[in-house]
This record gives sequence, structure tokens and C-alpha cells, in this order.
Amino acid sequence: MSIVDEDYEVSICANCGKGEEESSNLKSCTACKMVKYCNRDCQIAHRPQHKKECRKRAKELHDIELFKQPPSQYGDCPICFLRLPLMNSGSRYQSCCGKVICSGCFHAPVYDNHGNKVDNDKQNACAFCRVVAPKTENEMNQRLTKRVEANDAQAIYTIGCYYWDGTNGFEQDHTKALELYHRAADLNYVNAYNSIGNAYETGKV
Amino acid sequence: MKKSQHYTELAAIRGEVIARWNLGNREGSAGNADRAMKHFIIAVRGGSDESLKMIKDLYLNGFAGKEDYTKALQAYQEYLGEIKSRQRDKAAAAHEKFRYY
Repeated sequence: MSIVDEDYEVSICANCGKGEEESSNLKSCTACKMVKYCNRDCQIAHRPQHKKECRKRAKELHDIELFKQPPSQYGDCPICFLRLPLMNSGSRYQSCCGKVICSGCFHAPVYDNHGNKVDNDKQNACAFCRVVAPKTENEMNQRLTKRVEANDAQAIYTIGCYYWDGTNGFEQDHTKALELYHRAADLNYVNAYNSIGNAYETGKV
Repeated sequence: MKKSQHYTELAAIRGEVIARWNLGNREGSAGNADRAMKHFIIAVRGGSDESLKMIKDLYLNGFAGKEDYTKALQAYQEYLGEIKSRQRDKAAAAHEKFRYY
């Protein structure tokens, strides 16, 4: 069935009906991908009778993509390889290595080389790379800017949130926040897309 | 507003659960109960208990069938099974801030 469909697809231009041999030159309509044309003029000439069908099919294609089951939002914990929970209190972001670690791995007891227990909670070190957590806001921001320079999407998004809310020593600046959200979104960071949507909805940008 | 919808949809396609919940709410208030239902069940598979509540509301008000509600409950149980671990339970018992579901 599928082979027949493919053969049918590459055959002819929808407007002038030719182009069996030079089928590689045929370009499909980008919106609906149902019909093919040999050039731009054919597409424009065919548009009036194709418009209605095209819009219907484009909407169907969009719905198929929209209602597909997406991958899980946060993925797995890099230490225990179990799925990260949705609730933010369960997972924490470390400004050192940029890993999101689950609460279980963060809270688990740590032993040094001699088998003595290290007081992890007091030290508050990152469970992944063992760098001690920043103590002041200033230090935290410095580390985040370093991560931003390394193009870490989550750090960029975090700074964007600080700019949007005007917290953590940043001045409120909506346009700059939106810029940073877009940068994080280009790096395929999912939460940034949602924040962009919310930002446009508020009408502040 | 159109721009907002576009980006929220992009987020939902990539797996953002709150965006998905938002889309469900928008469809619901526009009167498209079946589309809202589809959004909510996807969000429940991602672990959103708010969406589960919305599905319950839809079911109680007669917009959704009983099988839809049981499907949603099963999906949420599946999610809980995936995220549960003894280590995380221990952390949650130690401090309120480590509560994870």
C-alpha cells in the first residue's frame, strides 16, 4: 500500500500535468504536502482551486503533530537513571555542572575513600560533580553567568526569569527577558517556549 | 494572543506539561470538550495531577465517559510507578521540601 502511495506521489505536476521524468525537480506544497508543482507559476495558477483542500489538510497535519504523545519533560536523573518527577521540589538544578538531579540522589548519604560518612547536607555539595554550592546570591549569579557563556540553556532561562521578575539582584527588564527566553528556546529548552507564550499573553512585550 | 497560542503549542509538542494543561483549559472554555480531553490525558501521562482533576470534573459534569476517566487514572498510576524510588521516599520523609508527588 505504502509503495503504491509513494509511486503516486512523485508522478506529476498538479497544474500542467507533466514532469514524469524530471520528478526530482517537482516541489511539494509546503503546507499540505499533498500536491506537487514543477515551478512557482504553476503553484500560483493552481492556488484558487487548491486553497480550500490545502487549508483543511494543513489543519489536520497540525492536529496530528499536536496530539502526539511527547517525550517526558525533564527526562531521567543523571545519577539514578529514574524518571525525574514533575514537581520542582523533587529535582534541583546545580549551577556548577548544569545537571538536574533528583531529590533522592541529592539527599543520599555520601562516603569518602575511607568509608567514613561525609555530612553532605552541611556541605551542600552538588551530588554530580561534588562542587560546594554557592553561599551568596552574588556568587550564584557569577556561576550562572559563566554557565550562560557556555551556552547552557537552563542557565540562560534562569537568568531570563530573573530579568522578567526583577529578582535575585536583577533589574526588571521584559524585553531582555524575552530575548533570553528565545535564546534558550533555540537551544531546544522546553520551558522557555511556555514562558514565551505566557509573556506574549500578558501583553507586556 | 495568536503568538502566545503558537508558542504554547510548540512547548506542548515538545512535552511541556503546564503548556498542555493551558491548551486544555483554552479548548475547554471554547466549548471543545473532546479536544480538551485529549490535551488533559497527554498532560496526565506527563505527570500533571491538575489535569487529572480537570478530567474528573469533565467526567462528573457528563462531558467525558467513564472509560476516559479510568484511562486517566491508570496513566497517572503508571507515572507514579515510574518516578517512585526508595531513595526519594527517604528524602521526602526527611524533609518537606523533598516531597515529590
